[in-house]
Formats: sequence, C-alpha cells, structure tokens
Amino acid sequence: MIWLGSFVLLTLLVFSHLAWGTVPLPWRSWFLDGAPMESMHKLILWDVRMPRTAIAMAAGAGLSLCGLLLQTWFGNPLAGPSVLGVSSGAGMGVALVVLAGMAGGWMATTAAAVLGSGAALVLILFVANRFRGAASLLIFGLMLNYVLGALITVLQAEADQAALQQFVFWGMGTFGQGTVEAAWSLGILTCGALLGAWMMRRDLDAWTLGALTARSMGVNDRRFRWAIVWMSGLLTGGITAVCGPVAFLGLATPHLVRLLTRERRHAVLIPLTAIVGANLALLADWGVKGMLGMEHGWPLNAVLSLIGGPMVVWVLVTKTKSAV
Amino acid sequence: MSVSHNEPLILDDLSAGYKGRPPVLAHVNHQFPSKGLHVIIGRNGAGKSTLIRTLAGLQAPLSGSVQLNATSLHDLPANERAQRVAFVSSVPPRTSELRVHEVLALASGDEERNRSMLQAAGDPSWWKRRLQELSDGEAQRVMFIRALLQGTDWILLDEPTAFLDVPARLALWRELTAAASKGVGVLVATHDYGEIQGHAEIDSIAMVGNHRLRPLSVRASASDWTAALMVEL
Repeated sequence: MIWLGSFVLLTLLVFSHLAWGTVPLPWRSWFLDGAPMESMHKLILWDVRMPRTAIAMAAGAGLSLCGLLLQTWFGNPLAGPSVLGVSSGAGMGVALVVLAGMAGGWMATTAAAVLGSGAALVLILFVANRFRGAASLLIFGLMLNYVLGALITVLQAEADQAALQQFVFWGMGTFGQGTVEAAWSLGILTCGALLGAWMMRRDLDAWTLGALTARSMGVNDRRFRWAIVWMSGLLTGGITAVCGPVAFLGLATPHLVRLLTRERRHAVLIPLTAIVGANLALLADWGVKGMLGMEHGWPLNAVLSLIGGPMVVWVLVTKTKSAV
Repeated sequence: MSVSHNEPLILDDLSAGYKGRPPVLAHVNHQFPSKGLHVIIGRNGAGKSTLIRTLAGLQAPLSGSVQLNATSLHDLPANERAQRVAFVSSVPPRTSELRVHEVLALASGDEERNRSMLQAAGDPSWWKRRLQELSDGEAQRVMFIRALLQGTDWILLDEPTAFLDVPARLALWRELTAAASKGVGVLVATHDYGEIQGHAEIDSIAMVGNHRLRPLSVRASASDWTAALMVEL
C-alpha cells in the first residue's frame, strides 16, 4: 500500500513539475495535434524543468538516506546531516570559495562543499571513536555548527556586497539553480549511495543490536564506519553544493517512514526512505514554486522548516505516547 | 546443533588490555577444553570483559595470540571469525526495533531451524515480537539463541546476567547448560560466585586477577573461592 501510494504520488509529482511552471507549455497541441516543439519550449522542458525535478528527487532521496544511515550508526533518532555539523562543513567550504574568493566557478563550489562536509565528517568520526556516548557526539556536532557558523559570519563581515548576496541566496537552498550536468551527477551519486547502502542492509540491521554484537556477527566495523562516512560526506557535500544547505529532509524523512510502516529492516527502510524523501522534496518544491508573483518564490529552507519542524514534533509526541 | 569437530580455545602467551595502560593479563598460557561449560570469574575491574572481548576476537591482544583450530583468531577477517566464535554482550539490546525472527535471520537463513531453536531455548510466542518489547531477560535469551544459530564451536558471554533478575538468570543458565551438554563450547564471564556455586554442570573455572588467569577447582566451596580471592588481593 505504502509502496504503491509513494510511487503513484511520485509519478504525479514528477509530471506536475514537468507540466506546470511560470511559462505555460502547449501540451495540448503537442499531444493532440502532434505539433513540433519550439526551441524555447524545448529549452524550458529539458534544461530547466527536467534538471530541477531530477535534482529535487536526487537531493530528497540522498539526504533522507544520509539521515537514515547516520541515525542507525549513532543509534540516535536526532542524528542527521545538518545536526552533526556536516552541512556546516559544506557551508564553510562554500563560504571560503564564494566569500573569501579563493576560487570561482561551479566546480570549485562543488569541490569545496564536498571537501568541507568530508572534513566535518572525519572530525566527527574521530570524536565518535574517542567518546562512546551518542549524546556527547551530538553536542559536539552542535558546537561544530556554532564554531563554523561564527567563522562564516566573520567571512560575511569581510566580504563584498555581491559575494555576500550570492552566499545568502545559496544559504536559502533551492533545487532550481542546477544544470543538466549537476542533475546527472547528483542522480548518479544518489543511486550509487543507495546501492551501497542496500549492500550494507544486513550490517545496518545487525548494528541496531549494538556495535560489539554486530562485530561479533561478522560486521567489519572499520569498513562499516568508513562506508557511512564516505556516503554521507559525498551525498551531503554534493547536494549542498548544488542546492545549498537543505534543512530538515535528512532528519525528518526517516521518522516519517517509520511512522508509515511497521517494518524496521533496512532492506525496506532504505528504498522507502529514498522514495518518501524524493516525494517530500518535490512537494516542498511546489511550495517554492507555488508562491507566484514573488520574484524568487519562497526560499526552499523556509518551506521545508515550516513543514519539517511541526512534523518532527508531531512524531516525537505520538512516539512518546505509544511508549508509555 | 551437532558440532563434532570442536576445538579447544588456546591462549598462547596472551597479553590483553589497552595500549598505554598496564595490561589486564600478562603472558598468559591457558587452554579451554574443546566443549562444555566454562566460567571466568573475577572481581569488578579485574579485566573479565577485556579478556572475553580479546578471546572473542573483538579486541586486539597486546601480544601473543588466541588460537582456535590452529588459526590465530585475530588474523581472520570479521566474517570468518563470526563462523568460529559467537559473542553475547552484558547489555541486552534495548533500542532495536527488529522483530525476533528478523534478528535470528541475521544469524541463519534457515527459517525452520530458527523456529525450532526459538522453541527449544526460548518461547515460540516471541517470534513476531520486537526486541524492544521483550524484557531484558527475554532479550538476552534471544541474543543467546542468535549466537547458537551462528553455528560456531564457541559462544563467549560477557556477564550475560548482569542486568537480569533471579528468574531470568536461572532461565539463561539453564539454556547455557543445555547448549554446553549438546557439544558447544560455552565460556561465561561473571563476578558472581553465587551464580556458579553448587552448579554441577560447570566443567572448568578460571579466575582473573593480578594480570593472571588461574584455574580453580570446580568442586571448591564458596569459602575456598573467597580464600583464593583474598590471595589475589
């Protein structure tokens, strides 16, 4: 039921995003009259709406998968790419490129975001090996957010107007700034990570029994940790580079999935989280696009936080009730 | 559950502990016979957990080796090691939302075997319940059944009853004894003399303390154990 529902919803959302936008496309005359596509319409469909839809799907699926992996690894429901400082790491990288003007261009921004989030994750991994407690690790992530936020503020104070504006817009998050190449890259990255996570499904299940027990059952913990660090780092870095720091999806989607299904095996959680994440991202993008009449629409992160915040609280409240 | 090619667990000049700290065990030679129920006893902080983790291949030795079937356990990759030694930790998994049959399936893909093992050593009504919903005692028994299903020659348990009440302890010990009588090597670490006192089925007892592992007589009385303990101090 959930599978069918998510697939139907996903299909509807994809077609709606391709069909509607600020510029109306003559679908009727294409299909009924067999009229040829004008080059401008072709451009809108293939170079604007297609990549935007694909990027939203890849980012939604990728960040949600990332949240699921981190929540299982840390055994903590509050873990996620933005909570642990991974997004801030990516932000720091981009801030260095955009604000401090160390380099330019799309490749540089992407590389900086990937490196930044990777560095943050390695730092977290190092700390995770030192302190066993999950709570101290989350506090570490929080502090990392503060410190990196402070450094970014300093960079902002020093930056010129144009760079500052570029960075502020980047921070609002969007699925609409990516190129066709970016869409392909994120698509391949997310599919690769999904495949990697799928291959780890048994290890992830075993990990819920505790790290020692999982290892005694044959999980190679070093490889397990590194696989998660690399997948999360690349996903968060790549997605953050293209879309900016996307709020809430990584944290909220796995919870929504656990609410929708009683299954807890990762063989089910992994694909379902990806599909539900893609759905949520496309839904949120309707919120962004829907605010017509405004030049830029509502910022993605505003829409996501307005949906995501209450949702997480709702999940927490209902979960607490059932636990009593 | 017929394990015919059972091998002794051999500690070869083994030093165990953490780097940069005094070793828990220094240059220990010891042999746990090929099957039966064996107990490692020692005070809190004596190093039982360190020893049993080292024996389970989960912690690298400072020096020396743990030999099983003419192979050094720590040289094996994790998945091969898991086919030789199974492990049950002192903390029952309290947060896993997996169902019991899903946990058992992680250890063995044979559903019929998993079902009959749960029936024999646990309770068939647990099959579809979540681990989280079981009591600590029930969860520990599921973890032991999971270890049995791993099909290893040896199962090592680190204070498995530490968080259990008395009926749950007795139930777990009953299952440990039953498994040992069927030919699996069962090695249990505990600090509690009361648990093993008067237990007729125990095949050997070794005491950890003062960086050494000393065999104790199985027939010894509680006062003998206390005396041995005082010597260690």
